[in-house]
Amino acid sequence: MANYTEENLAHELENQEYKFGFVTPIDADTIPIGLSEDVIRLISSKKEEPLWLLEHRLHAYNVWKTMEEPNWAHVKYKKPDFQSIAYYSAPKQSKKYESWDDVDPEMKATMAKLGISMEEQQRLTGVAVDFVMDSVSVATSFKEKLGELGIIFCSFSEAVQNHPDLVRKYMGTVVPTTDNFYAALNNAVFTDGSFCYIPKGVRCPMELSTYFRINAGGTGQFERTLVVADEGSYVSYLEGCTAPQRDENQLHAAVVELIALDNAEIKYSTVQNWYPGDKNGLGGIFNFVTKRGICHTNSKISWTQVETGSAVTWKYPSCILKGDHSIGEFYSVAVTNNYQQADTGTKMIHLGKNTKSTIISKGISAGKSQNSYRGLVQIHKSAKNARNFSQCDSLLMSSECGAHTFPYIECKNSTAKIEHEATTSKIGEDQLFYCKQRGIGEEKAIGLIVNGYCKEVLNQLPMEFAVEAQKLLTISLEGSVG
Amino acid sequence: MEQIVAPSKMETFRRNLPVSLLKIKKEDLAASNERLLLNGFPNSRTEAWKYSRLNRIASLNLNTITSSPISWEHYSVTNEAYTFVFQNDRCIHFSQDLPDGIMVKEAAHLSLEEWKTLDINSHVIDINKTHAQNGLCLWLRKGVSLTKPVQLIFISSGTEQAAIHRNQFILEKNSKMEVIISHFSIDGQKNYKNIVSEFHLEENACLSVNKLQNEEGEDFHFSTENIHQKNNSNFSLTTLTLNGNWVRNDVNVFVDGEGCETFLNGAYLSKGIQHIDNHTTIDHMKPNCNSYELYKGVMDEKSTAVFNGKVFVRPDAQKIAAFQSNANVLIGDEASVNSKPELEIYADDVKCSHGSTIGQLDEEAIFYLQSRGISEKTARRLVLTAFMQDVFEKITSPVVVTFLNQVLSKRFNWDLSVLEED
Repeated sequence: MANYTEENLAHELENQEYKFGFVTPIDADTIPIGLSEDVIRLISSKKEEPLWLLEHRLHAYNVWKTMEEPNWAHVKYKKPDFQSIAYYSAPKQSKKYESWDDVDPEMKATMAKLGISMEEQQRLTGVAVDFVMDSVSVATSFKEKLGELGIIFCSFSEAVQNHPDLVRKYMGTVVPTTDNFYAALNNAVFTDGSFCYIPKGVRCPMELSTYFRINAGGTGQFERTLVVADEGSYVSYLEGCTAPQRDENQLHAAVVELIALDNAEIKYSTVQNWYPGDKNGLGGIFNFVTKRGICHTNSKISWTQVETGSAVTWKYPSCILKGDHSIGEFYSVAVTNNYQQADTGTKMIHLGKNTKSTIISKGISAGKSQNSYRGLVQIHKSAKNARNFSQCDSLLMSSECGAHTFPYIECKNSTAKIEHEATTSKIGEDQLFYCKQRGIGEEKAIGLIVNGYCKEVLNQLPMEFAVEAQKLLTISLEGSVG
Repeated sequence: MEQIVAPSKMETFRRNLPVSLLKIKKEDLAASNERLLLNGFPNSRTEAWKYSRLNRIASLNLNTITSSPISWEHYSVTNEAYTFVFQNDRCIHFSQDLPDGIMVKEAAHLSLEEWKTLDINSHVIDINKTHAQNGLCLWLRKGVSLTKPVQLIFISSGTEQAAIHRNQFILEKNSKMEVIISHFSIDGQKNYKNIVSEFHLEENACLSVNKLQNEEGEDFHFSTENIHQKNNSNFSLTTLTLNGNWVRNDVNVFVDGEGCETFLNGAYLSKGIQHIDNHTTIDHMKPNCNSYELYKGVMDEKSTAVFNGKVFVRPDAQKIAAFQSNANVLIGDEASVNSKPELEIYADDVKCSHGSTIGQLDEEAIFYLQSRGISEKTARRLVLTAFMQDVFEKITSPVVVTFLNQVLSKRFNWDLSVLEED
């Protein structure tokens, strides 16, 4: 990417708004709208699920019915009507794909447009991809190569069929079925997602990646991701998301669970670019996601996220530092423009001795958007010598936007050391002046400053994502100067 | 929204409290009564009371019995002040020798029109409104600058006595004064104190308030300070919580003018099973203002502290500089702290920041001092003092500093009791 110049960037800026706003004209098998026990049974039977999973779903559904939608987040939106969503939509396929050649050409074209190629060229970059469109996983690459190492990387439905013991053992151990309103909903109606298991002592040789795509209208996406890193293993996991441009608000309620057993390390990166709605705040995805990881002794979980899309984001990737000497990290850039609203942050629950956590959150708000950081650092009595460092900065790009910080710090152990700092300001006139004085135009100067501001987080992303994220940042902020 | 626990608890709690003697607008009173009836005591699901449980307060069996006046003189921080003393629910000393330009009245004697009440609600303010017995109301005329401070002393005595007062200070244009509010108790047997003070600062007014809380025993203390600032006014409040079984301080500043400066400082030192809760809100409604907030605390033994600092910047309130800092040291093995600094910013040309830390004494610093021949005990005292000094040095009133030193040496033996057992 060395020859990617600022001219290229400027060119892209001129031409792009939301480049993933297309719809793939593909036949889909969509069930009627509405939610009931019958719908859940239908989903379960379509996926040929074992009985225990159906029972799990029905239990979650019954609890969900008694729960209320949370309203503590600093966001305003019209509550989704859960009876007007189709809970299952799958691209129609005559038979199971045996090989890459069987995949529908339209689907292949979609992947190419999204920049995901399952074919040859991708082998060079060495990223194994699982592609999830609407409710089902379409294709997973590099399965065999990973299989040689004992790594399981497949769609969630496949895992349920082929590795039921693993799924049953770990599913719901980090995010309980009835953890919150949207997690319970997800437990009841989830359709697919990714499953990944790294065996003891294995260092996964390539980045594993899942690409989520909402295609059909009137649907929601409810996927689950379960990553288990067994003792002493390592995995880096990427997640990308896009959706077509529509006037309606589509719901995306996912549950992601990470389990890092003793001495394991999981690095989880997200570039979230769901359709954010148009300039007037019409349409866009509601992104209500529960992401949580548990760290056993000496293990590490690192969350990195670049949030540029979605009309409303409600997302708190968290770490439960259960084991002694475990480490949790959270690096986030959240950009909101126009009428977007984001309430995002993290929870670091320190239970083990000598546990450490780092939180770096960079919020950028432009247009008429509202961007909030909400975080919890909780040091329990048992967490001797716990250490936390948090930094939450907000950058304001227009006079009508808002940037907010709500950090909760709860400390019940007198040996803990906790630092939290937050700043809110706009781009300094002196910084802009300095750039202009050296012949850099205003738009470019802002791109430069914003990228510098986010550097700490972008540096955490794998190379392929970092470049993508930088471009995304600039595009998201297009025309927001002033 | 305050949530319902059990409205009946609130009714039992208020059963023996006399109705307010103050002339408060009927509709205000009715609204307060209705809210108390409807909502009862807030529970831990109510954001503002998440970390401060009210169960023990809700089960108090309060009353007001006339007790014989005590001698208050030795509670006075300084003799060089205009002093007003309240014992439980009544006023026992009312300074008469006041200079020109200042007018004072007992709150019970104020007419309806003389009240200037800010529109802000909480269950504490509602209880105050419906049951306030007295308080001090003061007007400082245009251009008057007081040389001596005004001193308010609130003393509680007896068992399960309620002391509910409402104060109002109005500083007219270009006036300047200093207020010392101090709280004491005589062996405090579960007394309940609820003091609401409102400060209205008109253009160019300058007010400095020092609030000293040094209550022994098992009292429950609620202090609310509501401040309204107009153009170019300067307000500073220093809250020193040196002793108190259960203390809740609410400070709400409405910066409703340009060119204002606001300083909120706080120090809290706790031992035993004490609970100290500081909630502050600074609402920047107009552009071109600065605010500075610094709260520091040391928690020993099993005590707990809560800090919640909120800074609001309203839309179009540009050129605001707001800084907030909260630092805590835990020296007791079972001490705990909950800190929640918040920023809510709706304008872009601002510089706002907050910081919050929780930690211990720096062992390296102590080792360094020991290596220079200073005993460990003294070293710890020095490091702790240095930590608190940031707040203490903001106190401009020499009499308050003297008082502070006395309490610190008496109660904490200057080493904040870390090594008392040694």
